[in-house]
Amino acid sequence: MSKPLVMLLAGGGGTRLGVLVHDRSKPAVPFGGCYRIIDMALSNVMHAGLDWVGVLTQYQPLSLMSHIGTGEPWNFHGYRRGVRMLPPRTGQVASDWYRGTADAIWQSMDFMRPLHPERVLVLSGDHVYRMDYSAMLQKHVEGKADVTVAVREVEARDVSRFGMVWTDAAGNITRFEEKPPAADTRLASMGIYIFEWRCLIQALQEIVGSGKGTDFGKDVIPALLGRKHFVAHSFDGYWRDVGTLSSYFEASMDTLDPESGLDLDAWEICTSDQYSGPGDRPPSVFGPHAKLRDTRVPAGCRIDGSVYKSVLFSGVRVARGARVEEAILLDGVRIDEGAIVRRAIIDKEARVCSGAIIDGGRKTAPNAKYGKCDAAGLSLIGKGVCLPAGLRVGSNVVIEPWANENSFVSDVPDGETVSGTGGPLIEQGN
Amino acid sequence: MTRNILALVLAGGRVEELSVLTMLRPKAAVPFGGQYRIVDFALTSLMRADIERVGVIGLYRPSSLIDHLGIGEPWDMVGRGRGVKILPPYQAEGDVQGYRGTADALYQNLAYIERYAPSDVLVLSGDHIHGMDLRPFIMRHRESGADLTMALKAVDPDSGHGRFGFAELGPDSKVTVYQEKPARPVSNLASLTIYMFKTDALVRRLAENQQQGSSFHLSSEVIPRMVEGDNTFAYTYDGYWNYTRSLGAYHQANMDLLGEEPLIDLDAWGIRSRRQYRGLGDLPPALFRDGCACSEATVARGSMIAGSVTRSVIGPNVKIASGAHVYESVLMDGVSVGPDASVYGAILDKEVEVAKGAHIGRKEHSDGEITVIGKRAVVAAGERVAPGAVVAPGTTGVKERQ
Repeated sequence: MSKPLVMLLAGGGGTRLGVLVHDRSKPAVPFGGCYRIIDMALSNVMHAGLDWVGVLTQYQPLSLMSHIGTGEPWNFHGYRRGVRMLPPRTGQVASDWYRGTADAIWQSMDFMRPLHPERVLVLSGDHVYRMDYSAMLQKHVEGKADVTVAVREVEARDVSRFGMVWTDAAGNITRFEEKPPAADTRLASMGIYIFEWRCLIQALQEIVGSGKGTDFGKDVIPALLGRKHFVAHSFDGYWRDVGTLSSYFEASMDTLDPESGLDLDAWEICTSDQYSGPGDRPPSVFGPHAKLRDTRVPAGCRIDGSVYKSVLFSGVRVARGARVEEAILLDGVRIDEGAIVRRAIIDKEARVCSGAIIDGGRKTAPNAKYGKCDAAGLSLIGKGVCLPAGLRVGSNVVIEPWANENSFVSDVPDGETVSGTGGPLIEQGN
Repeated sequence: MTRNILALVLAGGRVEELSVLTMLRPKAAVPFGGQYRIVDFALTSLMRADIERVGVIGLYRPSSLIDHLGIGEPWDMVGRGRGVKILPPYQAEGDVQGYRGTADALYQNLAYIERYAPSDVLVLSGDHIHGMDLRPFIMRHRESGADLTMALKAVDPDSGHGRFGFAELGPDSKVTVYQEKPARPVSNLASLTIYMFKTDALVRRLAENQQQGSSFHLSSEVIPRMVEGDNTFAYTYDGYWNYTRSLGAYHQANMDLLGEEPLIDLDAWGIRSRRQYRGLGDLPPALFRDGCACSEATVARGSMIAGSVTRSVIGPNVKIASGAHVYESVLMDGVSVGPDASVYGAILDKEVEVAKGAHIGRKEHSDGEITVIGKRAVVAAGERVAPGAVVAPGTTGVKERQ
């Protein structure tokens, strides 16, 4: 059985992650203290022993490209293996941006064809899960399927968020509906597909090539159903689409409790920590007054205050007398003396000066500008923000990247947004 | 400025001083500070000084050192004109002796030295812990036109006698007398065993040593001859230095990582290491569970802390169960300390297992000798290991030990 070619969809902007995707794509969003979301899919590919990966990028791909590099951390660096970034590119017909998931793959025929794949495994770069693709492949081959779709059970109230799947007794897919308002099935597509090569290119030519559609879930799968043999592969392990702030926050909190099913210590996630992240930073240091409970701390942190139920990234400093509860602090965040942070996500290099308070997590009116990121009152502090000493920030607040002392006129009430600046403050020389 | 310098790191001989820690690896490869190995300090200082060619002379069980160095990219030693290379002993016609001493090791690698035709050769130890900036030392050597420049540091002569070499200086810091491990030192200036030689002077003295030597060691034979017959100058250094010549010194060096202003500042010194082959680069952040306590400690990635940790250095993938106490100890990769077990003033090598309720080392917070447990040893549930005891690697079912 030859190894499938992997096409990893990593183009998403993920607007529902608010300022976290200000300058990075969703798959490049940091996760779990020292990883990025895409590490989950890349590590699964590596553990399945697959050799060739195309990464389809579109939105803000720079941090993703730097992160993946030569692919060495996932064993894609070698003579007969590799990972290639596939940004949109122009050709004979001045082709433009990828118009959808199927279009992205259709436009990447130039990458796929020379590798002569027998099958293609299509993955999303923004899911948190540990899955053995070789079991799915085995099912696909043994079932002589044209297309195999990974499915999992979801709650009845969530069916409108997924492509829903109906199967017969043998596990063959008989019906598929993209985001139906209601459904008498609980099986949802995970957006993970194995296609027979011939089936894939014929379908893409017929549907995308002739302008009838651009998306797998909306166009390609429904058009093929009934004509091709579809098999469902069910998966019952931990899986989260971390496309919203609340799902990102909840999945992060799940890393604090291995019983949740998200067991970072057992998942063997591989990452590249050289470009950002812990890198060469020394082990974290805990001062005489440090207090920790249910918290993740990677390398290079200095903890002198109290940290509860939080995920810290590398180089975070929590000063004496500061308190952090149910928060996610990305690389290099500083919490100064006496500051309090409750239910907040603070992006890289931001600083909460002494005595400032972020009081997130209360049920209040949603944020006016970032309403669709609204998530259980979480407050979101953008990259490089400096919250002045003594400032008070409410719930559902968004502080845009690089806001500095001059950006704040007073305390920030619930649901407010503070505009950022274009970049870090450049100190004026004299 | 640092072109034409070849550096040779002595990472060689079996050193009994670190007891069971050096039974399976050379001292240079002993883990330190959670995620480092001792040789990282020498390699980082070479990197900071832009030394582009480095040979590492190793002869005792070099495999962990070879893995650790790899192609040298953590220390930026890969590229055109740059490189790090392990120089193990080799067999030649009629010669099966290995390296007879440090001077002999250099002599046997003359072909390596001459291939690059360096103007100067920098020789340093791979098993010392320091954050020395080599650039002023190199500059001093270049400016003085010395055949040999040696780095010295003021020490308490009473603590150092019989263990270090001591030098006496004349005007302009010219070295006038050098004594190796004297009973009564002539000064308080101890050699850091960092030497910079003019290549031709070194080659001449190494050849002479082949004819006349008996121990074939640099410090006992070549250096005294050069102090007598060549132009030898001193460079004095007053920063942190730990020779790691005893278990106590090694333990102290780990304790020096702790405190408000640690004597060893890994961050400021910018110490680099190879994390990837131990998988350290992929490890999740340490997880601190409900009920844990962690004060004045460093904790590396992949660890799970549910018990209490005080004044200790915790390596990667260490598990400390609920109710366990770890105090003034060094726990290397993958150690597990079971529920209600206690570890006081001890060094636990990699993958040591301390089962439920066992006790290692001194009583509570009293002073006492350092206790050492060798790699992969298992201390059974409820057992006690006395202060100062040394447990061999792989020992299972450790019973009461004196």
